[in-house]
Amino acid sequence: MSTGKAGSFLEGMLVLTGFQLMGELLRRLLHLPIPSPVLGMFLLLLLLLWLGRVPAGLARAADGLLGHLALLFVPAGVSAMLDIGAIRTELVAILLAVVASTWASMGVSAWTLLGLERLWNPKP
Amino acid sequence: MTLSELASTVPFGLSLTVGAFVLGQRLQKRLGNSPLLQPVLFASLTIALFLWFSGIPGPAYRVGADLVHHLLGPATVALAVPLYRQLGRVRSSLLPVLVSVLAGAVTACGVAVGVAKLLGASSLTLLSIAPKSVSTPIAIGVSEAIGGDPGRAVLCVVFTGILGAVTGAGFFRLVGIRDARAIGIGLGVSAHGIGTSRALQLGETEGAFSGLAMGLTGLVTAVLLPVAVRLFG
Repeated sequence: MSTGKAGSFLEGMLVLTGFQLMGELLRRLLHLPIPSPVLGMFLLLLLLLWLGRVPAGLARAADGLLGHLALLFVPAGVSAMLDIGAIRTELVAILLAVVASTWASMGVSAWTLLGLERLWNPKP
Repeated sequence: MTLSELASTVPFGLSLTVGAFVLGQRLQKRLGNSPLLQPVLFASLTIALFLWFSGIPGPAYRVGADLVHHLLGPATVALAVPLYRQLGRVRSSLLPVLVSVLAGAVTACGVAVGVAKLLGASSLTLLSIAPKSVSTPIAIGVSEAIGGDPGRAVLCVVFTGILGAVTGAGFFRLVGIRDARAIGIGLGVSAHGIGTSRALQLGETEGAFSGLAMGLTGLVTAVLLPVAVRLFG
């Protein structure tokens, strides 16, 4: 019997769905506005930090899913495209907001890191 | 048997989704991995056009497509794995990284919502554009949680990623930033996964800092944004 082999892909998937379920439970119990998969991600990160390593099956399931992550956005993307008539009047506002905010956050985060690195890890 | 009967079966939506995406991947490869041709964008556009021309209603397509959509949950949980791996690689800079991610994430939300509001966007759009700088699965979850529209959120997120990936290197040259860590942080905070794949092309340090920044930005935004909406919304 090799079905129960340690570190299988299915066991990794079970860890992922199990943590998502725990996130769902936490969200409902504490009435949190945070999405349950994000809570699950946070709980799993805590477990990994405590373990100090990534179990083989979990690594296989996570890398497998994340390797095809972009595919999973397609249904939502299709809904957005079918709905584009609804945002036609706001398209310019959305485009300008996205451009301004992308460059602003790029600059702010990079400059903050440069400044803090100089304070925290000064080079002689 | 009519086309619309066949169209509301599971294998129809499933095949259409995977098929259009694979086609997009092949096209992108042929164009030298250009960040301009995103398979997600290509697939979304072709499928939407196909449905529109053939008169197949969106809900029929979703019967099969939802199978793909629901995998986003476990995939989001799986983001903990790369996040954990990157954390170990940048241990000495952890505090500066955390603070700059926080500053960048707040800037991204604030400027996006501020500019859109100034230009007269509706409140549904404001709630959908707010999580634009985080990985798509998180943005979908956050926009749903705060009452925005996940479809609009995906559009904003994908456009943000492409913009960051295409203009990032030029932006940093223009403002005179050459530090690999700072470039990685800037790309990861502002342009999530698409920016991180660009950072990986620039170098290993850029890639590691970008990957970490992307994960932390998602976490910070997912926790702070719903709270902020509840307080000020």
